[in-house]
Amino acid sequence: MNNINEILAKQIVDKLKEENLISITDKQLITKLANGTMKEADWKIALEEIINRPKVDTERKDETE
Amino acid sequence: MKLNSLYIKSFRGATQPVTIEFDNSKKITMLFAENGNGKSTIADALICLCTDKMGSLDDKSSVEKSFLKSLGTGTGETKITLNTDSGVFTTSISGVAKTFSKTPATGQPALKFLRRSQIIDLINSQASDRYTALKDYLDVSNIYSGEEALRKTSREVEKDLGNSVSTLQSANDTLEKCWKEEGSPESDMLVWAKLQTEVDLSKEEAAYKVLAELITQWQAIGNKQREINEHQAAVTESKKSLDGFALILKNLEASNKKNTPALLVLLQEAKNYISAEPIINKCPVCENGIVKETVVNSLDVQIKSMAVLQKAAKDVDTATKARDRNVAILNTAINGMNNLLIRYKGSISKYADKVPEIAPFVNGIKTEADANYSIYVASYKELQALFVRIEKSAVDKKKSIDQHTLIKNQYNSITQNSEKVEKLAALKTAATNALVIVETARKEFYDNELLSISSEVEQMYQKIHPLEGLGGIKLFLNPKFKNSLELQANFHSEQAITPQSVYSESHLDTLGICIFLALAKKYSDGTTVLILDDVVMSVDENHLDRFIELLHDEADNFAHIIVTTHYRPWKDRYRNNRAPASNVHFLELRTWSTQNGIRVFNGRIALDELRQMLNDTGSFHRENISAASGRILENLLDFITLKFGCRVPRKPKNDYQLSELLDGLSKELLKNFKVEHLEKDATGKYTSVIKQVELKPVIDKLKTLKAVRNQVGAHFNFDGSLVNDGDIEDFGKTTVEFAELLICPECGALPDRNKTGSHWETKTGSIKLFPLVEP
Repeated sequence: MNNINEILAKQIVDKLKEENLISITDKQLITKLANGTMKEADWKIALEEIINRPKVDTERKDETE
Repeated sequence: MKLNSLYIKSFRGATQPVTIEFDNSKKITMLFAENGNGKSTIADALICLCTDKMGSLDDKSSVEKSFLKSLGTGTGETKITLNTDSGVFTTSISGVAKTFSKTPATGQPALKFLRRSQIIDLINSQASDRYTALKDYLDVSNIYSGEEALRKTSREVEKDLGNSVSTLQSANDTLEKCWKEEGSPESDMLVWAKLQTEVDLSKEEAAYKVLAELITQWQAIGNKQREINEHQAAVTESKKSLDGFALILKNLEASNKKNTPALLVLLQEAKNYISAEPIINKCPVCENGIVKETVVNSLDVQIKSMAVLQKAAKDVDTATKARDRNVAILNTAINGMNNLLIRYKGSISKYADKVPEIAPFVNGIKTEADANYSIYVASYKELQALFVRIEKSAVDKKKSIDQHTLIKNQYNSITQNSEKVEKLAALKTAATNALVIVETARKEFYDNELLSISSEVEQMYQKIHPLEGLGGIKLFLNPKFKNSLELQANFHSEQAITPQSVYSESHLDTLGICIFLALAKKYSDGTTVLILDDVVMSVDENHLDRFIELLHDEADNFAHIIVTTHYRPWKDRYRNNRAPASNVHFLELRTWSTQNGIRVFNGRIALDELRQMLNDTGSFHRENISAASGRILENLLDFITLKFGCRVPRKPKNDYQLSELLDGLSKELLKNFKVEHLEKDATGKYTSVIKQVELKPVIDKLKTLKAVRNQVGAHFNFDGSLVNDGDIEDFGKTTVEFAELLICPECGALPDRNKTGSHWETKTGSIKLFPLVEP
């Protein structure tokens, strides 16, 4: 059975990806969110991954989009 | 997942081991018992096994958890085992522990349970407590925990950003000050600062290092000079002291030439020798007779008289040593000074050309200490003047180097912090946006969940209370308060009111059940076991039938529904085929005692009991067959007369008897009264009529036999004894025949639905009853 927290965690992660705020593709973020083990450091790493990505990559991605 | 059996040992009411065998071909198990016979023990056993809850004990805050085990049983005996088609699950309490140990530790069947107390909590509670009551179903606290972590991250990033901006501002201010002091060169501060950081300071730093070394050496010479001066004074002082003591000794020796220090030494040694001899009576020098004590005393007197001389000699000795020591220290200092001078000469010799006044020093310093010292003293003025120039030059160089270092540090701080501030600002924006997304998603998710549940609750509620002007159920979070769950409903012309204020108690009960059922259904993927523990207290006949139908309609959404009840009308709906009895596994719990524990028996429907009595070749129970047949016929005819609106004598309690009900079936009705039995096609639907039976002949036969019920089955009278067994058997068998014509062989219910407008039929469609209305 799908846990209510898992369902909501997936929705949140999908929305964050859609808004280009995170790029983590594995299930780790969903699992941590659903299990209530998401810490400050986890958020920082997830959000910084996009910020620290070289700008040229982002531009290239924007072009493809 | 299908349940096979549940074994309970030494748990609450199970004072004796008990096994409940489930009929896993049926989705619903009903456990009927009057209160105190073990219903909640069975429900709690499943709850304790499959969840981290304690079942009904959780409702009672003051309950001692050690009473989980049965009275009179020892510790370590409590055990609950659930056997399913997907595995065996066991839990036990070992030793003095009050918590359960589960095997396997995880993966127990999903289980939701509803007890009456939860319905009361849900309906009567304040909005915040209502949220708590549904927390097990709608708990998104894990997400909220992640949201809080994100909120904290956002605050921390904001703090870091503030610090970095402050550092950047400070570096900017410092650099700007330097830039302005330099006359604002290059028209741009950062351009200038960058150029400054690129200046090669290595030569400056090397030159400063040389100057600093010269300063250090000259300062060391100065320090050594002060040291020599101090030691020189000490030597002078110690010489003066020695001269004084020597004069005193000389005067003492002149005043008594016999008493010399040498004599004193001789006398002391003579005394030591004679004292040490155990026996001595002759002088070791002249061999004259002596008395030891007399000689020793005489020597003592002479030695003491020479004490002043002794002290003077000692003072001279001490003063001599002090002088020698000071002279040695002074010599060491002078040698040290010499080394410093030689080294300094080496260091400044390269300046001799540019500073000719130091040439005598540079050229004069060789190896001999006294000579070197003299040259140093002679050149001191010139050397000191050189030092002042060196020191000034060093200060200027140091200032220049420090200025460049400051500019470099501030410039680096600006470039590094600018990048950091940029990243932190981006992170802060990202965290803020992410927080909005998470918070909004959580609230919307919750609202949507409640909305979808509201819709489901509404549908369920309308099934139980159709055309009653009730409904419009709405569950929603009050946005003004945290975790505040509001409940609204319609009441006839009134919209969106709190149902507690106008709904009857039984309407509120069914509303609470519908909310829980909707929640359990929403979060079940078909593998959840649902326990309804004594949830129905008092519901009228019509609402009970609709509630039972709702439960059967929803059963497919769950692996199994276990209903415990002490409400006999519910049980009797199944027993008398007024509900789909074939779809329910029906268990009864008989009177509980500490000796016997919980006693479970398979319940049977009334028709099966009659069949058994008729088939019992060992004994033929005239009275029971007659009575049972009469009751079954009354039940069936009650159903028929209600469906067709037959005319029966008006009675206050509608308690019609067999004759009245049979006579209520009009000639017009009986003329058209028939059933069709159908069989399933390949798609599983009842489509082909396999049998068509006119019911009038059966009714006519029953009319001829109806007296058997009163004469044999209801009263003691002489006429009853005259009825032969054949008539009784005929009455029983005709009753069974009539029941089998009407009752669905698949679900066990009567044809109570008007699906087509032309006849009544069973829920499954297996039997059609004609006509629809009395002609």
